[in-house]
Amino acid sequence: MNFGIIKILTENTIAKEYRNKALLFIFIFTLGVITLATMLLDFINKNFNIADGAQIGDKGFFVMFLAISSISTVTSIILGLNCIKSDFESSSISQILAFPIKRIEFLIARVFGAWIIALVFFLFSIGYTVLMFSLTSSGTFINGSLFLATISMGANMLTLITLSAFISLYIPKLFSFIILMIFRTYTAVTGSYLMSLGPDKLFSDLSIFKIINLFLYFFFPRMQEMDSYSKVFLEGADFDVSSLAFFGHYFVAFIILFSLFGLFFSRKEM
Amino acid sequence: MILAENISKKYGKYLALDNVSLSVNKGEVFALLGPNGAGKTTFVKTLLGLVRLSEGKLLLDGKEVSDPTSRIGVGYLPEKFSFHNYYTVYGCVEFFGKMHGLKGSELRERTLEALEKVGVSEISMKKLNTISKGQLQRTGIATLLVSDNQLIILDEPFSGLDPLAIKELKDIIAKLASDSQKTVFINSHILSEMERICDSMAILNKGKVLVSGKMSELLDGSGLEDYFYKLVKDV
Repeated sequence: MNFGIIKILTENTIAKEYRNKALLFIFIFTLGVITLATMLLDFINKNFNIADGAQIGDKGFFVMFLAISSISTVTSIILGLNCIKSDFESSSISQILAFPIKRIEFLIARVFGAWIIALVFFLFSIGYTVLMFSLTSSGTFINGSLFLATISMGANMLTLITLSAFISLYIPKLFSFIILMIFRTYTAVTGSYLMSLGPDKLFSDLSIFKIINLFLYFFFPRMQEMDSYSKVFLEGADFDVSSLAFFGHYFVAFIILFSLFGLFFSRKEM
Repeated sequence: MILAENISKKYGKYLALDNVSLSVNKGEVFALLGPNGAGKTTFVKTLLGLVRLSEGKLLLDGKEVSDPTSRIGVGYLPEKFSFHNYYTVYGCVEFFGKMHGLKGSELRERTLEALEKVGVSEISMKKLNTISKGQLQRTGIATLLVSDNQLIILDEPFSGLDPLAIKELKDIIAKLASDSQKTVFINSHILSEMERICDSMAILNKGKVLVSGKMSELLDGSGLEDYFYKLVKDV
């Protein structure tokens, strides 16, 4: 691995992607939503004589975290769809790949650069929420739970960016966006269903759809479960052995996804 | 510097390169000539590892082209140079220098020098989407000059340039050629410019090499245009 080249290309990705107009719009929109939510919280605290202001603040923060997480899902997909596709659109892909770099290095730099922007967007939004909520209510917002929840969200953003970048190689952006949103919802629903079945019923009554769902469940990073982890962490749950097993599976499944992406991209002709 | 042995490239059933063999020596200015659709760009793409060979062996400075390190010291200018629009002319050339390993004051000096050589210093702070086609192509040439490339690959370099820019580009190529260490590979269908600046050539038609060798020996006193038309027409 040539880390010098990866660093230069990562900087290039960041410089390229932070100008994304859709991203800027969503960013401003998010800040607006956070400000409105804070004003609403302040209004409730002042006018309804709530006994436990800290609890209201914590609940409000939990809801805002979920809202920012959902918005970050959209920003991650947008960034993923654009980070490699824009090199094709600007016809600069052949010039970049003509440098003495491996294609996997190019992919790492593009995905990592897009992930950094998505993370900065997410952290800035969370930071702004913490600041605004601290001014209007007395809850405790910065703690270890927030840190664990942020790591879980960060992992999901990385997976979404990788998957979006992969799909964008073959399908136009708008269709890719729609497909990814549907896929995200589909895997969330089927993942929750399979999780609820328990080990004894997991492999019974196998149909084609169930086999596909099981394949996705075992070989694809479980984003819905990661979302659930982020929620329970935020509610105060600790990181335990079962979390470690889940994170281990998620990591291996992500490596499989990225390797597959790398394999397809290395075979793609420019 | 470049050695192609019986290389073929198929796109589905279409044979873009058919058993092509040629060699380019170090320090040569080599022209790959042929009509549109002859397979010239496919050859360049295989050289740069952008498309995979179907058959044969292609070496760049002794290394297989599938090895990315074969492209160390290789500069490439596509037919229509374009890069991310938000870059300034200076930033774009600097980026290419960085990618070739230049840093710090050397990078800055080499970038300014390259911009000066192609006459775009005055527009160095303009963004790429605000400059003319000719200025963009000159910026592309500056990206080749910023680092010490040993092999320069030019894909249809004169295409779309005005006569003044063509003259300047020819001067730059002549200057590069005067450095006996540098190899210049030009892929073109514009013959009038090639005769004077190239040492060797190959003529490609329908994916096949018709002739290959020293320009003076092949032409044997006749003009390149006449020679080319006769050869291609006969096929």
